[in-house]
Amino acid sequence: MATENGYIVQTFDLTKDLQMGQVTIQALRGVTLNVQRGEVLSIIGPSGSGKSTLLGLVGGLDSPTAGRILLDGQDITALGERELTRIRNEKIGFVFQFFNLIPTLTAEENVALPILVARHRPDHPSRRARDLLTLLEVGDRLHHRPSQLSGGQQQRVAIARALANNPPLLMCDEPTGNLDTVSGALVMQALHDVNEEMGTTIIIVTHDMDVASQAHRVIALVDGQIADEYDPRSSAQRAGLEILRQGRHLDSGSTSS
Amino acid sequence: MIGRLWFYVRHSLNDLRVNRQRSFFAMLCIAAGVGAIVSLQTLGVMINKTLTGSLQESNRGDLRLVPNDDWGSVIIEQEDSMESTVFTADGVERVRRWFDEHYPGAVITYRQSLSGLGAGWSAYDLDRDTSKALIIGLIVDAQVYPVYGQVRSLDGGTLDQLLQGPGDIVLSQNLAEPLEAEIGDEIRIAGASGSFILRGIVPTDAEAGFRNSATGFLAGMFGFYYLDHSATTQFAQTQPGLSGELYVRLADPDQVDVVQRQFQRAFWAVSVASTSDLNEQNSAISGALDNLVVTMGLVSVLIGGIGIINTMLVIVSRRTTEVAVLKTLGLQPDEITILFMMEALIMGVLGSLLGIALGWGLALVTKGFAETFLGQSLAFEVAFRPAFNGFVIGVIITVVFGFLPTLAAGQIRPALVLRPGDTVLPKAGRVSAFVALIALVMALSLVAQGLMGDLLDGITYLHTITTAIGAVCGALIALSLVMTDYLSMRGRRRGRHWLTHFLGWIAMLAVLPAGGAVFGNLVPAILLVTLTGVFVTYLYIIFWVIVWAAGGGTLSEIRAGLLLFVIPLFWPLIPLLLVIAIPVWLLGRLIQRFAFVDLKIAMRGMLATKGRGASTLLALVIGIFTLSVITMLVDSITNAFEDLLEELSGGNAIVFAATGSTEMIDTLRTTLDGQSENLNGYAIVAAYNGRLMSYYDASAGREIRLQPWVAEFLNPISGRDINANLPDAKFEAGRNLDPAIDNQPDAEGRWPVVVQQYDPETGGGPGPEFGVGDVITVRPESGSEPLAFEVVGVISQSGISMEGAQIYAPLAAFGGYQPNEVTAVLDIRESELRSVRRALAEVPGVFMIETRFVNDLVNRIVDQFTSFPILVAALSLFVGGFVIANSVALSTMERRREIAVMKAVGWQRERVLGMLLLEHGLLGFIGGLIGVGISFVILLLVLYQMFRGDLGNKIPYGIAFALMGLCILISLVAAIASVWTASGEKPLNTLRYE
Repeated sequence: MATENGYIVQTFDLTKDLQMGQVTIQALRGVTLNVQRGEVLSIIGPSGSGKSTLLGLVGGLDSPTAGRILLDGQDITALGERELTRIRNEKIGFVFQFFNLIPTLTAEENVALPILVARHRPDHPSRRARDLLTLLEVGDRLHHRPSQLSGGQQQRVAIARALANNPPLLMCDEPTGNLDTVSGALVMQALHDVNEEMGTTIIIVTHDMDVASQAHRVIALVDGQIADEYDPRSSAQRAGLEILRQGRHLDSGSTSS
Repeated sequence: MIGRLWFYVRHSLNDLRVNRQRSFFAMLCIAAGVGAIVSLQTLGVMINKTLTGSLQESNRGDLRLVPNDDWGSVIIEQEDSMESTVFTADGVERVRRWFDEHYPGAVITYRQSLSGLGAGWSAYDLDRDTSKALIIGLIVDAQVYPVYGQVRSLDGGTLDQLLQGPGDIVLSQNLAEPLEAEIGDEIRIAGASGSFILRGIVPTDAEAGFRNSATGFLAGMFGFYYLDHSATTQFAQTQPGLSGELYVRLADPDQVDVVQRQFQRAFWAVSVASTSDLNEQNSAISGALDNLVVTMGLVSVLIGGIGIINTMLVIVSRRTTEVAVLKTLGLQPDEITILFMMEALIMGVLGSLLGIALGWGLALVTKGFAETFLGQSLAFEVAFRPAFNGFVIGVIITVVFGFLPTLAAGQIRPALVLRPGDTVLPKAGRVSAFVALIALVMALSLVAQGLMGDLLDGITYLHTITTAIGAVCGALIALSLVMTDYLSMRGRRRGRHWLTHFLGWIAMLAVLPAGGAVFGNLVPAILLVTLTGVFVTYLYIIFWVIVWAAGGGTLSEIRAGLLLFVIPLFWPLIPLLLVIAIPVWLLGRLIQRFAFVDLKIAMRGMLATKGRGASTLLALVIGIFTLSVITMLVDSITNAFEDLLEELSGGNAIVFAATGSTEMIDTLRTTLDGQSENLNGYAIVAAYNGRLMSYYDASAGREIRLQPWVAEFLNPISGRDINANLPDAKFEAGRNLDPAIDNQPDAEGRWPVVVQQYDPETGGGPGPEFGVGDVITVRPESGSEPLAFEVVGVISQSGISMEGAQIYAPLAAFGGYQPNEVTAVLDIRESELRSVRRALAEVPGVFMIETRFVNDLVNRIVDQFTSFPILVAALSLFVGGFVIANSVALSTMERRREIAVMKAVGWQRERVLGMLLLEHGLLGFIGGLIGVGISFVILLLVLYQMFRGDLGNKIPYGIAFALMGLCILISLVAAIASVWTASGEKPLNTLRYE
């Protein structure tokens, strides 16, 4: 169900407290965010600024301490584990820094996995997997296990897996963080192709300014709050450098989450 | 649905294949457990087939008739050489006539009994100078015996072909072997005037074990021989026709029960064992054996289950990120649980199949143990019922034991995928864990109920009562629900149709009481399983604390565990744990402080996996404890028996005479004096039955008035030669007899006497509580003149005593009296045993038993009875070995990174190997210390009870150390495969890809 206002993700005053032993750390402090359908959004920020926490909440991997999250118009804040799992399967695709492919399965089996567990799955999960892998230019690696693939290939298999159920939202956590420059560029190109050809909304959490600058919009998180938001096509480089400078300062001088 | 199931199967198979080493060890654990159960049950089936094979052959006829008392029936006479009642020749004839009259066509034959002490009990091979005593003689009509089946010699000859005259004899293989006898040898049998020629040797199981239900056990234990009835004339004191047993073959065997009843009415003093009785008896034995082997096998499978728990915990903890990814992709918690469960199930199925093959192999290998136990050979067969049972149990145990870890897998949070370094395994939710625990208890109860139903039925009406209570409770609940529904229906105007309500009531009234009854039926098994569970949990906690303490762990490491003691159920453990843990912990800390670095790391490795260490110890300790308690007890008791026998007899051989008379004393003395150069000494000991006439208590200074029963109670007094061959017993008071002064009465005509101490607990001792200085007056049976004795010494009580040693006086005191029994104690020079044996073989009615033969006999009896328990213990240990192997495989897999870092910083492979072996050897050492230690304590208690503190050299330290060594060895052998591979891995590979 599409929202009337065209947003696929909306968060309202989102707060997340993390318990670290005796200490409670506020990982997010009132984050309000709107993501347009079809948009490519980058979230940048220093380590411990709350990027991954925000990604986890929006992706239904965790529940907020306070605030609301609307995903594709549906309030997922108070949903139970079973319902969240179903939503993740149908509406969200995930791409991780360390690929997180199942080591015992082949590339094709890894991609078919989300289809196999879907409630309404297509008749030929393997064919869909093969199509996606071919689209992402790893069609010649169908029967290879993750350990037999390069990092870039593994990440493209991971993207194919994320797209297996044709989700409207793709969430990427440092998708190029574990890749060399060439492989990273190929992966980013693949993500852009997916966005343009399928209209999939993509949220990318990254440290990499080059990656962030390829998004339609960048938001910067510092200390669990949105510190800045800008269009990278105009002033990305300048703003990004400023954010990184702030991050270094915060890393050396204060507690972060 | 099928597609998803296929996905689970493929995924599980993939994982098992990729992690083949880990999977293999886990499967071996369950295979070893299933193997144990299949092998034991297969042995059970083999035994069962033997028991129920040919009842007519085992019973030696449709009916076997045995005189059952001494009530004075004209057909029965008291006492043959074995002091049992026998049929007279007339009695045998009367039985024949009865059958001829009522059931013509019946074939009747009998086993001749011999008269005179020791007649027929020993054999002497004149050609080899070898002898064997306490053997079984089967003097039968060779033309007729056995009335069913045939006895054939090793060469194929039948009894009627071999025993053609009074001078022919056939020996069993277990008698011929110790005699080293060969066909044609001349054999003497005690009590016979002439000798016999050996015509054939028959296999032991011609009569041993269950082949002959009457004498099978003794025949298998001691050996036996066949003589024909015509040989009876060689035994001068024996009347032909005197019979211990009659064997009857009916013309119509189907009538056996009717004939039995009619015969019993006519001959009430005769016991009749029919094939039906034997069938019933054998079924009971077979059932009991079956229960025993299954219960023991179940223990092995449960030990194997520990391996499954360990493996599943490691699988789940190693794959937390993978689980998080799967949940991220849309797998629900229950689907994750099913996925892992599938993996456990596949391991269970493959492990169980492997276990079946292993079990059949083990049954073939261990058949000898069962044969020793039964004293009979068994035919091996590939039995399918045990295989099915083993398979089902293996799979159920795998699923049950794998359930909790897989439940934990379902609880892993998907957000973990964002922080892959964090691999803490979540605890399963409290409610789900509780539900799982209930399901686990119910599942295990079903297994227990199925396997041990018969055992539980032993408690009279237990199942009936619990089933009835369950049914009543179910009915009450159903009634209350029906009433509630009825009242609510009446209160409502609109609602479901009355017929719907009515059908609901019928369903409730039918289902709930039935459900209650089923649950009630399971209650005893649930209680049994729960109690076992509590016991195992206690052991686990104790071992967990020991591992922690031995590793010198810190308090913070057990803080969470201490919360367990909030539950009152665990309070009884607290004092025990404090007693064990404090010294062990202090030692552990000390070692941690001063030990070399390899040991420190080994100890910390052990500390890091306390839970797995505890479960490994559990598996190891059960096996080593069972094995050590049996072997150590057996060794110490047989050693003690050997010492005691020599102590009490005062020599290394005992001679028994068939008749008790003064003439026999003279004959023996003449023979033994003729052997003086071969003997260090001898003493003739004659037993005189007597009646205690008066008793003067010196300590009280008065005559004690004797009750009639006390007078009768006095044991026979031994009159013995007073020389150097006196019993070397421990004296509580007074002294032993002295050859210098005690071969004559004192001035008042009293003879000295030594008595055994009175035991107020058991009433043991020769009679009342005699003390030094007491005077007793005894009238021997064979005379009218009483003899007065003064007690000069009191021997201490001991657990084992020989008759005749309880009270003894100089033989000279009994000058004119006829003894009831005559024996002689000989101290033979070891090199001259054969000469003395030969000399005594020439004396009719005399046979000799060497004390070492009695020791051998005791050893054989002990071996026979312990063979099966030792087999079970060894199987437990075998399974324990696989659990250790599995545990080590998991541990090295988890520590690949640690090992790689060690090698990266310069440790050589040998050193890494040594450190890992040290860790597992340490675990084996702790296991051995606990298992052997508990056995040791039990042994001390038993020995103390038996020998009253005089433990001397009876404690088998050697065996204790050997078993501890075995425990360490098992740990090291189990560890070596995994440790060798892990220590040889290139560090870069691990550090880069792990």
